[in-house]
Amino acid sequence: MSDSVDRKNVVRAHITQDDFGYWMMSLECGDGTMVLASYAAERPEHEILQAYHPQDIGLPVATEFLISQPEMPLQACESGWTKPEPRRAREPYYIVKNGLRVY
Amino acid sequence: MPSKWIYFQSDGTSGVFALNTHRQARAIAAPESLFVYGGDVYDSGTNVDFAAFDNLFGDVRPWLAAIPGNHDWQTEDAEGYEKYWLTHRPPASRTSIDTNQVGPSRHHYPLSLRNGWLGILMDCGPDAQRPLTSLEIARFSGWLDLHGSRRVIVFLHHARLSRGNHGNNTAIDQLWNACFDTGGNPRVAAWIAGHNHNIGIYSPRSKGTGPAADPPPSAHGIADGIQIFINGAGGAALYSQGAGASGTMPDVFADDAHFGFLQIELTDSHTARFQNFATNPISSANAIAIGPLVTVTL
Repeated sequence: MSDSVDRKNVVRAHITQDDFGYWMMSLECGDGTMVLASYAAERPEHEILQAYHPQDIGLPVATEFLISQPEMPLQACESGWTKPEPRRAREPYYIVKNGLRVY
Repeated sequence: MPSKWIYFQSDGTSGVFALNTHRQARAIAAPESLFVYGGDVYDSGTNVDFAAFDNLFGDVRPWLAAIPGNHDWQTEDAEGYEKYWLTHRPPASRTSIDTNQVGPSRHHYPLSLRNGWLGILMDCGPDAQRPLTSLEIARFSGWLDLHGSRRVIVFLHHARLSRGNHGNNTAIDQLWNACFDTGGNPRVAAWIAGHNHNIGIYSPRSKGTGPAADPPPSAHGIADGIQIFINGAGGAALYSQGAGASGTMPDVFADDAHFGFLQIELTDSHTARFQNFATNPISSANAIAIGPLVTVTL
């Protein structure tokens, strides 16, 4: 990961679940660099809202959001959870771009 | 005089994480502690969302002061916020709405924090990045004049400096500079905000030169600066402060791996102590102090 990642260079956002079932969002730049944006969400709604208003978090309007279908239940666990590394959306996913679901 | 206590939680109103964060703050709070909710009743500030908010925070409502966040403005004219808090206006809560004003101005209000300290709660408006009007700045300044000392804490949703999915709030720069007199002397002690879902502390900052540049660290600490505390880790998804995040990295303390709240102790009319706590999001275990204890003596 680079410390100089500029959100203007983000082309894709990946909304998916971590190994504990918590929702997370990672950003992918044009050069393939991946960075973590948000994580530890019990539900995906807050992150999905960003897909329709990407400029609210400083992303280009044309950012493509890949949103995984829910696959695993939350695994409530007092220990073991750590801040995840960025990751791509797990298939199956759907795509939102320019405020519309396109796939 | 006995200490007065304040618990600030923001950006978390539904789900297990928000509930446990509030419960753990409540568990360590002395009777009659003040609770401040820093905004965002998820998902969209509707009446249904406020019913969930009430389920979570209703147990402290008589001691609860709130400000709106951007999510509360997702209903027209912040309808859900207005309806809830007009129904529970003081003394049923500590949250005031000035019905003589319009728009976000309705939600600014001063509040005695006791022990000689004043809180001023300011609404950042629909996108949390709205410049205040000259009339709003004048009202704010009038409250400072009336209080007559800088023992003031400003609560708002989005602070001048902040790092995460949302960057610095340059739109609020006029309010920041209104917190200093013409000679550059601070008129308040601290700003406290959420919006970015993480925890941060900035060293005391001086009057700035405008929105294009960060307010610089002050030369003599709190004596000539205002300290900024961020705690938006109240239960919604955490925001990374690392690579790819926007805004200025907190230079005293930064944490983006824990949920939590901020405790403020007003020990007397001269001293305030600020301590962040990390909460266990999925159990009723005790919250644990995280980061430095910041003591502000004026």
